[in-house]
Amino acid sequence: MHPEAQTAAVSRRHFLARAVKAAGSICAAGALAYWFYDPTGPGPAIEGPTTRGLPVFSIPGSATKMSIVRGADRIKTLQLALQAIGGIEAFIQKGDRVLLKVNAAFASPPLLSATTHPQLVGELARLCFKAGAAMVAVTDNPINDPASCFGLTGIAQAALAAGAKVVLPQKHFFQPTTLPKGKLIRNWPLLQEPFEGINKLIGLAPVKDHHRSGASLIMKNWYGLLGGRRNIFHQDIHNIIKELAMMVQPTLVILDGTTSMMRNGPTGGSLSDLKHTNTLIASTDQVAADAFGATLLEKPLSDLTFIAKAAAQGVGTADFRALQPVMISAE
Amino acid sequence: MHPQNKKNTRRQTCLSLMILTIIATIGLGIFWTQFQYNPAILPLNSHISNAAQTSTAPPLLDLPAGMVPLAPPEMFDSASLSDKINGKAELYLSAGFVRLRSQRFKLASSPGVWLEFFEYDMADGTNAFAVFSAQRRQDAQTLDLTPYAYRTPNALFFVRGPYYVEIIASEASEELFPPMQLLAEAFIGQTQVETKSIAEPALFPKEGLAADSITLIAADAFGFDRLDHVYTALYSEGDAELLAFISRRKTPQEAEELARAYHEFLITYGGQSLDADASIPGAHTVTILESYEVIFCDGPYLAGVREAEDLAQAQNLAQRLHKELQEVRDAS
Repeated sequence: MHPEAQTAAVSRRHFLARAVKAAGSICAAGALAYWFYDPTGPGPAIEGPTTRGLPVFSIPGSATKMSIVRGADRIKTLQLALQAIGGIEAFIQKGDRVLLKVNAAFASPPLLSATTHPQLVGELARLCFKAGAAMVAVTDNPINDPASCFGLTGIAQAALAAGAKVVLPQKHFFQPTTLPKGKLIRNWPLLQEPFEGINKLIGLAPVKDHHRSGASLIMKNWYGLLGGRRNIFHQDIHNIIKELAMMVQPTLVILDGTTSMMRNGPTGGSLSDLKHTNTLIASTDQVAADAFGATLLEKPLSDLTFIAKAAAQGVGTADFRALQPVMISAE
Repeated sequence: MHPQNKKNTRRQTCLSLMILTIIATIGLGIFWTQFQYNPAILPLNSHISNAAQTSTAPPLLDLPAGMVPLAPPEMFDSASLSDKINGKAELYLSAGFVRLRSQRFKLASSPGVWLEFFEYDMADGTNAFAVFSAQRRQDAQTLDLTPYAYRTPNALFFVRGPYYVEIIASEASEELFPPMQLLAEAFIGQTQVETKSIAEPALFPKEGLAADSITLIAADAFGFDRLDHVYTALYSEGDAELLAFISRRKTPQEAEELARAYHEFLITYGGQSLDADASIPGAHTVTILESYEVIFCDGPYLAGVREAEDLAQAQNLAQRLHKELQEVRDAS
């Protein structure tokens, strides 16, 4: 044996002490692992206590307002539409945390008008900040490849350029939600996380034909808050839109009929599906906004039964003329 | 214990404790940081740039020169189709949809411009024609790529065997049409299919027939849930427009039974039976919602005319359609 090795030879006592220490370390590691061990696993993302709907974002006590502005320039029509109902300051105050619910359902270019136009998103975010908003976030749940949907529609770039945040849906953002008095929205996963800390909600939607519901306007746009296999609701589309409208009480809605998708909706795909209807609507009554949107699509209200159903539930009025909307031409 | 050994042990112990302290600090740092990060908020362009990255996955087809993938191929079945096209999924599902493959491509010469290629596998050519014809655009320009093909300012649509294909550009530009056409030709060249011609469109009388108006309704035709696979064609009679329809059933008996059921359906919803057109045996004539409908059978064909504002016009077109069907039957 090498002399040095001989010097470092381990005595019996030393060996036993080390063996005991090693065994102790192994036991400690095992105990730690056992402490962390979760025999049930993480479980589905939507587990958790059921939430009852969403907070109310409408401004209490304020009169119902609506404006309809004719014009092709979205920035100009948006500014005029808001001015006509008291200005953005009537809805957004200093320190507000605003969520813009856009329609980013498809990864399609703004050209096709299948999604909320990025110009509108950027300008509205800018106006919110100008009114003193502390934070503006933009969200939707397109299900398929949200990053592409937000990116290729130009919505993400417009939001970020205006200083807003883009909230892409993730599994754990959904919580089981039940709408009191609802028959369809019961323990259904709803995109709740983006509403954390939010006190103002604005819906922005384009005017579109829809193969199932007849039209995709403001109320149908809340469909993007649903998670799970939401396509099952297509079998009862008018009632799910009604329930969504009952659940979401926005501060304000902006319906963009600058270019309306008249047929082959909601995806469209061709410029031939579009018509320049050159109209933008701002309203605190989502039912009234949709009722006017139906006129842009040249559809009778009887074809869009979700409007009457929502009105019957007291969500708003289908008789938009009763609100005496401010009519302005920006041209 | 040897003094040297004891000294080494102390030094080793100190060093070990120091390393363990560093590891524990890093661990605590990670533990603390993960609770501070809110993944809901994406302040940067990371996801957006991901969308624009060129995929390394093989593209759906061999691409023409100058075209490269913009995103990986995507595939959807009947359970997931609505994830891609939302509410329009029902149109495809009711027409026999099997699978959708899609992919976005960009032009090497214009990286900001992109095309999306949609290949709907509809199981057979008839189903593919159904979704093609149901969505045909009004200002379409017919192409000779395949028997059923057209283009619009920003898109190209065609049927190839069981496939209904859409190529949609991110911009409307004449310069984009050649690459779109090349992509379509690449798909046609690389896709071996059994092409069967669809017989029914040829059965409609030519006179007064509006060009490219023939449509196949796959299911729930005219609001009657038993009426499926119905070809319709638009006719102009002076200022008026009326619709002719044909549906081939499995047997003449089935056609007759369905004609009776459809007639009853119209009566149930407020229609009134009129004296039948004597020139067409077994025909039913109904007036409903200030319009006229004629329903008749010829062999396995259930056919008729609807949405006519004038009874004489309805009967005239029905007679011409009946004659056309008789000639086909006599020839076969």
